[in-house]
Amino acid sequence: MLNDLSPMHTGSAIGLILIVLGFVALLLQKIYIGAEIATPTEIELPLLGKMKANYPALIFVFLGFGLTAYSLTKGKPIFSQWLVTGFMASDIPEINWQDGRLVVIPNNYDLNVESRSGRFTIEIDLEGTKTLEDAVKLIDYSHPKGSLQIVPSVELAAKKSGKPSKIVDDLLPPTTRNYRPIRLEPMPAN
Amino acid sequence: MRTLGVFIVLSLLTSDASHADYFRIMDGATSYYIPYAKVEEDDGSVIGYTDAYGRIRINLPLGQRTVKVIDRGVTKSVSLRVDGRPNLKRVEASN
Repeated sequence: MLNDLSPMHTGSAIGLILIVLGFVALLLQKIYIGAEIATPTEIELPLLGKMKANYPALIFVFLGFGLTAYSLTKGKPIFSQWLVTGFMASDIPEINWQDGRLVVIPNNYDLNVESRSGRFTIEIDLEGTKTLEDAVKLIDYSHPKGSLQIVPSVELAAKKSGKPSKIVDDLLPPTTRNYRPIRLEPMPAN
Repeated sequence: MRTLGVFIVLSLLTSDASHADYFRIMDGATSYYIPYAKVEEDDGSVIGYTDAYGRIRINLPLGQRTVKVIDRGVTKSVSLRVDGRPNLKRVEASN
């Protein structure tokens, strides 16, 4: 779970702790008497006016606010949307593709399978510079009569090394993968 | 005729060909199959993945062998027999 914390979360957490510590310090503060004039130290702050305080406590508070604000604005993760498309093919007559299930491992992505054509689309939001092949281990379509699978990393490696690949080699944006028609592997019944 | 005979004999002798056998991998002796699991040989080379119904097509030479099944981080072993028959064979994974 700790590995899932983004810089935004980390920075915000530290900032919050500093704010709390700063306020605790302010509440428990000792008023420092100015050596020369024997009066509590006063600090004039822009917008806030004068206040009796000590610098260390104030530094905590302002540092905390600053860190939190910075984390919220700069630490925001950037997502890129990937689009994966393809076709499934089969010799089984009148197959209804929606009788099967298209799954991406790990899951939680938007999937769509057209019942007659076997066309599928997958929309995936990936953080930062992650690619489809980094995030998706397996694309599986399972139908009672058969199944087919795509291992994205294997297909991309094959394409890059000039070997036969299921990826269609056309001019598409880098966050798109279009797979050739893939035949459903018929599975025998029990 | 002799040529044909030689051809058949040579084909049989050199037939270390892989056969497509179909297996459904079960979770032990339970009635639950193991979906989306990676299946590997002992040397770590990936054979494939089971589908949503725990089925997998395996292309390996004939004979008995033990393979590894990795399901959600847990590795189990499966003993299976590749015999070239087209039926869906049920096999059990064990720890």
